[in-house]
Amino acid sequence: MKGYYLKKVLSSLFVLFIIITLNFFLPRMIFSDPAQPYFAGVPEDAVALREQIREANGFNDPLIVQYLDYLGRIATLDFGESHYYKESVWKVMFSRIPWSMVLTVSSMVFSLIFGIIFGAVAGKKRDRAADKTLLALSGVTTAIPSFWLALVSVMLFAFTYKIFPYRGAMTAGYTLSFNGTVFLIVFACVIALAIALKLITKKTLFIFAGIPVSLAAGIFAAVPLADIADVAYHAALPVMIAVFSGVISYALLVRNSMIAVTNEDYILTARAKGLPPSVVLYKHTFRNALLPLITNVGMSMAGLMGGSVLTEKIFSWPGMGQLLLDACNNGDYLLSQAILLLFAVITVVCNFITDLVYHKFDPRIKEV
Amino acid sequence: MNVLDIKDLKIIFRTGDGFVRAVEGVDISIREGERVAIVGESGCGKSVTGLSCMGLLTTPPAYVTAREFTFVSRNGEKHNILEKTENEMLRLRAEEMAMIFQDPSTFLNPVMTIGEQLDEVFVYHMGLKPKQARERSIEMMKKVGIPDPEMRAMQYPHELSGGIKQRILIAMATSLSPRLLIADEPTTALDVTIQAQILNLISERCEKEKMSLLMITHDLGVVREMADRVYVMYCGKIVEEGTVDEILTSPRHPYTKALIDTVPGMDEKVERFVQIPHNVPHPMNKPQGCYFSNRCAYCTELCRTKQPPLYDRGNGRKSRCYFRPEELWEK
Repeated sequence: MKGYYLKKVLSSLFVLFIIITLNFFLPRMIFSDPAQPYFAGVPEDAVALREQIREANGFNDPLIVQYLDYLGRIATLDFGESHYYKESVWKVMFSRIPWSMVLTVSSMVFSLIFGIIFGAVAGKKRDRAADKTLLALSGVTTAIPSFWLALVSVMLFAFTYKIFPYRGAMTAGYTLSFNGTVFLIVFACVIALAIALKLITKKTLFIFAGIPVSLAAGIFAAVPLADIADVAYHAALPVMIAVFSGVISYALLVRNSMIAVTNEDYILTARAKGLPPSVVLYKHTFRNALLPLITNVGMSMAGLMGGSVLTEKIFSWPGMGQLLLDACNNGDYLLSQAILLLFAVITVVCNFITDLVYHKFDPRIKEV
Repeated sequence: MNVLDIKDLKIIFRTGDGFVRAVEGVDISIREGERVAIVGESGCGKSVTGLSCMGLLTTPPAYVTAREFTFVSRNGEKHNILEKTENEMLRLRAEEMAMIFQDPSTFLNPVMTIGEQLDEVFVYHMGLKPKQARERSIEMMKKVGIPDPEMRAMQYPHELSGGIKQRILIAMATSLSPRLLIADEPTTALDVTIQAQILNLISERCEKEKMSLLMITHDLGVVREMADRVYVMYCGKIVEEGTVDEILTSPRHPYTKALIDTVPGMDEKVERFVQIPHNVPHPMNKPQGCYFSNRCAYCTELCRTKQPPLYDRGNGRKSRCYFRPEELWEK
């Protein structure tokens, strides 16, 4: 068991190393001159001054020296300062991550809840109305790109009918009042409750559910209700668009896997045992049918902090996707590099966690 | 007294290409404590006959009809299986009739421990608490000869061998000592060395719990070991019926004779195995007359045009052939 985890950690670290290396070399192939942003305000013809800046920032060193220097800075988690925002890259990123998460987490939660219900109903009554609707809708969502849907709905619901705001995340400014102490107290209380329940019932489920629930409870307690309502109002349209395609794709996954599992031999055994249909469905069918969903959700977890570039651009949402786009457009070298690295790290970590969780749900995965 | 009485059982499946008549008017009766076998090639309708007894065929696609379909439970109550609702069937399954299946590796839930799967029977039928249920499960595992049951109960199906898994399924099916045990090719997927053990276990359990046995198989060796009476099925119809000794020593239907001839002897050296020519006809394209006519060595014009009835040949023996053995191979 220990060997399994060790092997996973080592392979994840190796993947990270490759990503860091690519992250260093790729932008140097794409951007014309990595030193360009340092020349802001320096006139074109001040060649000597430019050369001086170049020399001072190490752009004249051999590539391998620059690379080692980069590795060294990453090891100390030093990403430098963003040229455009004149602030530390860390600070810029962390001011945007929560905004992306508002969109992505709520889209994912709603997509999952409705997707599983819709998929289960469609899978249980195959070829009936719900199933046929699902299949037809899946055709629609695959055919229509979500950015087009976003543009049309902005036009319709924000401009023509003015039901929802067309841009931004809040009516004024992007600063929420956030009471850190309240958050910590509520978070700690709920986590403690979850651990207590786990110890009493001996079910790991409470820990799995406890972490997101306590986070949500903490946030709701720490932010004033009026602000939450304002953000929710702004987030409604982008979330609905994401949920529309999310629900369909999760539902389709659950539906197909439900149908496959229902035809499995062990379901016949369960029925032959005289178990009530509800037990056959929840204890036997569902437990097996949701396995592919775990992989799928684990993969999309990585996108939670990343946000969606297209959606955020269309709704002028102050999230990570928008930040990455701006960083690329402004030639904000260090910022874009840091964002890409963060995405990569999150992806690797999420895959690692998915592996562990999957192992918990499917005992057949060998611990080698 | 009969435990099961089926008269004129018909099972039809609706498929994309049309209706398939899987079983066409089968009569089966099983007396108390009797061991009955249904023999036939794959696709002859023997498995669905077993499933229909348990009420496990779902409509659609399966449509089951019968003139009579009576099961008598231990307290003497008569049940018409076809008129039972799903809820009423839940009580009969496992408590009064149980089934074991062909391939033990696919018939156990891969994500639940052996213990969890055995406990369920006690929890949902007897209302036992998890702890008591587990005690009963371990007791059952001992009864079917599983070594170290406490440890096995914590394991998952993929960690066990095929023989152990089949023992688990037998334990599961017999844990409430049902009146009728239906065994659908229980040894087909097992190693030859394990087969005898499993067959012995099934007989032993049947004797101890006074269960009747309906053995569904294609293996005449299994029939010889496990049955008192045999129904030979072909293309959804019963072609011959009689006691094991009589059927195996003096078959009356050409199909039965052909089946017996295909079994190679242990001591004689064979150049080529005997086989029945051609294949079982497709269920949607059965011959017009006798269903065996296209493969029968003794086929006549009459056989090709008209379906023979099931003739009573006396002494409890029946045969669906116009001729008697003395008119065919004994000539």
